Amino acid sequence: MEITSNAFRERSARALKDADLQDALKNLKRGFQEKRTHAVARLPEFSDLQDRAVAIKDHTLGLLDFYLERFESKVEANGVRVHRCGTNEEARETILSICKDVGARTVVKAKSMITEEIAINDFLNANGVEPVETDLGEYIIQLRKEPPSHIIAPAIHLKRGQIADTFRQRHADFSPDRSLDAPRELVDEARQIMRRRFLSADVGISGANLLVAETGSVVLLSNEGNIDLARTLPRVHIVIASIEKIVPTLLDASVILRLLSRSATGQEAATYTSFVSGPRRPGEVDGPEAFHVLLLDNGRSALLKSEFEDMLRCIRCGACLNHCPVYGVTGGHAYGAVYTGPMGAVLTPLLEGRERAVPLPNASTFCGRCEEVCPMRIPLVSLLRRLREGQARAGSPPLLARLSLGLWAFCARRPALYHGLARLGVAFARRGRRRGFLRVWPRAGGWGGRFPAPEGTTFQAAFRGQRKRRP
Amino acid sequence: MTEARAAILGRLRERLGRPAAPPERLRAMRAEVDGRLADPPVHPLPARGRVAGEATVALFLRMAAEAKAETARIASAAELPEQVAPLVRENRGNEGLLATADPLLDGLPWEEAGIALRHGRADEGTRASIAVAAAGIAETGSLLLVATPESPMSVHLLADLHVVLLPVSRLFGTMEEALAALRREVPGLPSAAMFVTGPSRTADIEQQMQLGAHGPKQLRIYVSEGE
Repeated sequence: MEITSNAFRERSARALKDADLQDALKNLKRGFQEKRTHAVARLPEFSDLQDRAVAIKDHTLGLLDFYLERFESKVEANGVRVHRCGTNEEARETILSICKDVGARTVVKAKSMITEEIAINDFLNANGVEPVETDLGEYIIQLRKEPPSHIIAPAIHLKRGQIADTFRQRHADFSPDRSLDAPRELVDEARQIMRRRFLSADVGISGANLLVAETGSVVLLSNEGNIDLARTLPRVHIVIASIEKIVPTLLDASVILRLLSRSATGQEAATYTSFVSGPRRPGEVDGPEAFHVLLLDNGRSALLKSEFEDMLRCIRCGACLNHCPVYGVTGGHAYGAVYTGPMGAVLTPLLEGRERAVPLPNASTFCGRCEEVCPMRIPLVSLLRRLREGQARAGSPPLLARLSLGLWAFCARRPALYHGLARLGVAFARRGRRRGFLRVWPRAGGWGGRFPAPEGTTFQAAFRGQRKRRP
Repeated sequence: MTEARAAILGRLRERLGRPAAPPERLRAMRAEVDGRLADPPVHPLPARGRVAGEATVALFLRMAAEAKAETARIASAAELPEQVAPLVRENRGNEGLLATADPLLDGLPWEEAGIALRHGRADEGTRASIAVAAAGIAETGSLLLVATPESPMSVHLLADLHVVLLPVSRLFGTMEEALAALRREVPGLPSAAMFVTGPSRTADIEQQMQLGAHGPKQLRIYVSEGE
């Protein structure tokens, strides 16, 4: 997709006024946060597994050149064609040439963020190959010509009425009088359409959750079963994965899988977890006859041994999005990028270029919930701060912001001055108070023009008072 | 393409500081990787999955039910035709039952129960299917289904009703144990090994879970005492 992250401010302002979007985003709490909390609480070993998982990934990344070679030789021994692609363009060309070689007209796709990253759909369409998204959420947004707004729930920004309208417009074969009020009816209609697509497609394309060097296996997770159908039914299958998805062994993969589903949807396990090790074997009557694995770099290698290497541990569970107060009100489209929320605010500038995503490192309150829920213990706040520091060094924040921050830093380094000014500020603000809110406050537009007035004294004074009462 | 191959490896080696590393250091690194692959470190298994005997069965039944699978215990596979017949008749018409070719299913009195058993891969008309699991995992209530010439993967994916027989002897505590047992039988791994936890589902519409997104709407598991 086209990266439009620099319009974050305008898009997020629009998102805040979009009543349907705000309604849809309320489902984040019920759908994701509570289920994750419950699932993590049920596995007392969760934190130990996190330590293990971090160690596994760090070990692998430190020896990635060797593990890459070992994975490739294993997967080739399984009868798979391996293609290494440095850039998005190379990946697109490789996929197209595989499709052309087999005369493919339609391709069924499993939901995969990396195929969004390489923007394969537009490219295939432009070259006479029709890509069909098969994950229900991804299919809905493909019909609506929208990008995904969440890495695991691509249509989370939509309400059922909007989806029903889309189906009515685009599914001309169905009776116009049919009922589409219930989610069940929408799911059944999509299922019916997708059946024929799966059975008639020439090529299936999927991403990968993990690549296992020990056995040359690709690990694929889904709840709908669409990935396994897209893999099993067409005669050619293409997996595209970025190089940092490699883990050494099946036992290592198991550790990460225990974290992934719980962090993503709060499930004990994804409905379908498949270890796929090549094309169909002699005697088998389904499964692809040809199997390709594309290994994509697109900026990953540049992060190794950099101050952003921790980001390469990301397993794309979406927990940081689900718990981010900024994502929770702006939704994913405001980010104008493939990857959204806190992980996207880090990854987009790193992969697409700092200058193309200037507002994203600032689209965070630094509250730290993302770090708290990250199964791979990625220090997202520190990474965002490093990106901001880079911006400051490059002189990119506006002059006013830099001057105000400079003034604040000057005062903060002088406690007596700081406390004096804080007391003065509170006293002044209390005078301007009307019904608990300040009428006039400079640059408070983002707070809806109603900035809460201070209730009592300064935090420091209140803290001292409390310490006196409860020593 | 070979150019891209060399380029990525070159970039990785550059970033990881390899060009400056002495040859014996590189040899040691490769040996570390090969050693870890040949003799993988074992990670501790969660306490929940460390079960034995009847507790394993109980845990499996509980977790599978939590994942919205239907479960039942039977004494032996011989009970299957009678058990499955009403399901196939009532819900799916009488188009027959697509089965994986398995000695545990083949000799059973299907015709007497009014069921036409078929083999092969599934197609658009497949409404009901039956298979035998390679393993069950108590920790998560999952089934392990494996691609073989006798057991095409589409059998497990296209039917509305999917019935699976799981002999108690194939029940393990964890995924790790099931994979280890599988690898003892199939060196390397089969072309596809799929762990299934409950029927297919989606929550893509307003975060409300609906069963039967693309795969089976109903998963019924029979845990049998004998093989």
